[in-house]
Amino acid sequence: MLLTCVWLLSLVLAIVVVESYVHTLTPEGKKYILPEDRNEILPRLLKGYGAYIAGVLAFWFVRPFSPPKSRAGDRYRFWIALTCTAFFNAAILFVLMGTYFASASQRDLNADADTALGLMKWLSFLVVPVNAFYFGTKSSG
Amino acid sequence: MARAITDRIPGRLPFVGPLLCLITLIVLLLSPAAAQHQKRYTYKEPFSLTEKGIGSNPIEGQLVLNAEDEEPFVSRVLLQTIQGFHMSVADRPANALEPMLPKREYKTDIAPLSEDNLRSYNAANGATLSLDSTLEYGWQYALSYEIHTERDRYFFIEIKPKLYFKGAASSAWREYKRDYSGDFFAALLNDALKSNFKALAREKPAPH
Repeated sequence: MLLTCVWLLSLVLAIVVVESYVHTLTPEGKKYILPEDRNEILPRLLKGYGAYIAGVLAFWFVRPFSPPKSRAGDRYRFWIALTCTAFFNAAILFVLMGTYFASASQRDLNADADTALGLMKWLSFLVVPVNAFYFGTKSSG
Repeated sequence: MARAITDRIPGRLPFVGPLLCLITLIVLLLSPAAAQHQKRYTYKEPFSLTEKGIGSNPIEGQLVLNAEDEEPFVSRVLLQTIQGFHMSVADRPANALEPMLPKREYKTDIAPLSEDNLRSYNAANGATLSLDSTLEYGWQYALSYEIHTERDRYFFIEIKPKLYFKGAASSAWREYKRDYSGDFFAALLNDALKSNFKALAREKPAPH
């Protein structure tokens, strides 16, 4: 449940971060992006998160993997899955928030969103196996 | 009598509604605010040829050119003027020496509108046409010229200014579709054209 919450919370935070760029002003008193920019960036971001969250939610209902023979490592498995997921989502949010810290000439949220989506693909190895195992394993009971 | 009138009103109402809507729509479409986007502006610069004169004297107080210099001269003026606004013509031939051709529309690239220009614009225009100062603006011109040689000789330049906007972290300009005053941008170009026609006429070697 905690892992699912991490994914959903990260999705909500990513939407809030992108939305915040529409309403906040730069130190020079200019809006970061137009609502039209937000309307283009958000669907791409939702598509990126959707691939992961759809898997997580689907595994709540369908558990295709058999449980491990030994229950000894269960605690570690959870912490590994949580750490990898938290790192993955923190990295994506950090990249999305990068526009706030960029200098005036380097601000480009569209490019930052592209970087975040690229990072999602490259960091998939961190979250896909552990989350698939964690959510997709049949309970031994 | 009163009954006769009220009896007739319901029969007419179905036509009155759509008719009023149509009239309102036409009025809105033809209103000056709606026409702001597509407005065209013109600039006229009279000139005469070196071989023409009044009696044996050359025409004074007017731009004097050789017949074969007309195209290169007006092209030079146009290029110098738009370069003064930090713009360039994107669809020009690669050969820099080739002049811009008459009766062909050239589009400049989009140049950011400076804060000073934005302030001047807002000072010159009322609240309905003012621009939100928390956004960034860019402007572009579509230009074409003709050389009229029938009765009077003059360069006729058509100017179509276009406004774009974006946020500080947006990657691309978007066309500004709300109402704005194209007069301001056309006036900037008109003033620059006027001074460049004068300046380049002085630079030009004196006609023999």
